[in-house]
Amino acid sequence: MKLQRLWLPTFGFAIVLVICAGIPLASVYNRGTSESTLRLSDRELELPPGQEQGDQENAPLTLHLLWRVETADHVGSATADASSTRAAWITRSKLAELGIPSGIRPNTFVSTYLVLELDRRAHARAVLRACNLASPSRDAGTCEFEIKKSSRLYVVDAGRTVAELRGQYPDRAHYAIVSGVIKLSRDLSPGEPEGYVSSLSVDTVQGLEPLRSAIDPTTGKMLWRRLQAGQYFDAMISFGRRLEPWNLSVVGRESEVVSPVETPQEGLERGFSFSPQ
Amino acid sequence: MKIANVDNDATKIATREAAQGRIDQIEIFERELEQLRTDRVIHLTDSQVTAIDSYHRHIIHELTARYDADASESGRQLSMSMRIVSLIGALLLGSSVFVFFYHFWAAFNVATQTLLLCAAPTSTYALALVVRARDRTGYFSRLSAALCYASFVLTVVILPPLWDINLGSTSVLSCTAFGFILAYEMRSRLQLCAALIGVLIYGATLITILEGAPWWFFFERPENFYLGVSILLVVPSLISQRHYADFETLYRLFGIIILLGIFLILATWPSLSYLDYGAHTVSAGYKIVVLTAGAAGIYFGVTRRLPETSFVSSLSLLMLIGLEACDWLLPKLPAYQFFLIMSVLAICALYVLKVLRGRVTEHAARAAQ
Repeated sequence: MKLQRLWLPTFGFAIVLVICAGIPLASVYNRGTSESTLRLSDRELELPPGQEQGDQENAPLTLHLLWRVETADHVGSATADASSTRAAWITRSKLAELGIPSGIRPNTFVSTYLVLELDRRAHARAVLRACNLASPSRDAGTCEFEIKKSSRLYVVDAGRTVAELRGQYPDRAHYAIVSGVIKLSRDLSPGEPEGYVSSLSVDTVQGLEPLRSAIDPTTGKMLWRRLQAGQYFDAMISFGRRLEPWNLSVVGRESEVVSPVETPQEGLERGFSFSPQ
Repeated sequence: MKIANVDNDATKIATREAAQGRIDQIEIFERELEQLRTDRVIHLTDSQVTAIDSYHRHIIHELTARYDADASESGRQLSMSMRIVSLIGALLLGSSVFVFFYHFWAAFNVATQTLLLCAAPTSTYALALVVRARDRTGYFSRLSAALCYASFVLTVVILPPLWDINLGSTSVLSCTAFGFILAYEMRSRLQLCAALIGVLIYGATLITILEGAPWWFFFERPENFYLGVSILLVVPSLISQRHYADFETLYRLFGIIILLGIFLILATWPSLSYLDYGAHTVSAGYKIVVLTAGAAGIYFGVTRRLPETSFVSSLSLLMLIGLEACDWLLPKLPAYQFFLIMSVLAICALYVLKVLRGRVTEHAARAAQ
């Protein structure tokens, strides 16, 4: 009888214990081995929208990974919402590789592994498209934005296993593999299916000092204001065994990161052309 | 005078609700007995009246002392106020914990934050257990249970991102399990509601994951909730809930509302269904299912004396008829004709329910004979 009365409280305390001990242990396991480490800047780490509203609460600063997707129609996606941008690389053959049947229902979401590329071919192509002198629709503002402000982090591929993707993208300083979701729709035309990168399973990292909280404890000023006023930073973001990111360091920088304008040698091999259509 | 079996009668009662029910029953009996004596239907000697009265006074005294049940109308009204205040207090306490943490949070380092997040549910759970042992009314123990649940949910929400970990649907599972523990430990209907919602969501996430989609898209397809609904409808028949007031009703109510809600949603928006037989066929199929399930629910509710089942079933039928009428008639008829037809339909529905009520009353009268 006494045992019967005790088992519910025991089970209750056990659940609390499992959660409180399990989460740090899972984190330790994740951080045990770094699968990849990217050096991101303020261009790729966005402050959350809630904290840009001038909220004065001393909440922890959560940095959002600002990722992009290369579009199929060659239009720059710097200002577009990445999750609503049709991904050029989601093709019928890619879906077959992922083992997704050809008969797709509208708005089908599929969990898969995604490849994040930092400042490589996809971004070089985006810069070139925006800054191509031969293009009649060239806009100086867009070009400058692509060179100085826009994110250089692109979701460029998907695969069924981490090992398979790592074989294709061995550079762990520029390519990270993460869990994510792609959204598929039925063909509007008899050609390729419509595919979008819906989300990454974890696209936030906690800020480290000096960007740990939303406000500066010494001055009481909002840190995000200070950052937006022209302070730049670099953050080393690692992705661990569970492919979940964490923040290794945040270091301030005096000047902004400028992307070079050069023709990517590998660009044409994937069927992209740089001339406007 | 010897009072027979008072202790025996009172000790059979296990909950405050049952004690209150027993006192209410005594009051009704006393009023009816008074009426019978006034109308000279029965004649009781003074000693018999005194014996009954003493017996009842002893039971009432015992139950009010043991369970703090209300022996008067004013006490009952105050109890209702206490229940409302208890609910509002629970919500305010939960909110205050959340806002407190949110306001000062970044001033602490990660180790302190983790310690605080783990201490919050542990200490509030211990507090709830202590309060439950001392609180005869149950109001304060339920209040502390709500505070404890808020702390636990806060921990499950805040701790994983603090350590850059994604718990996935395990967060829903842990909140559901803890909700059940608090509900049964504190006999709290509020916690049970939270746990039942958790069962529905977690069941849906399991189906979603099996489909290859991420768990947080569980709401994309209403059919994902069938697993949770089945569990809610089956559990009360497998595990007796008679020691927990209203728990069985809550299981059934949640199950039926969600089940009929799914049928209605899929009858209206068939593209949300997993069934790939064309929108028209799926919609027609689910309309037939709503009609069948609604009629079955009314019959089941009436025959088994489950008023909430028949109420929800009849409501779903009326909603289907209303939606169909809007779909067919509204685009074709002028507004005055549409509302006239709708009012005629309402009168027809009223007539059907009246006939049904007559038959039920007749059936009950025959059973009484």
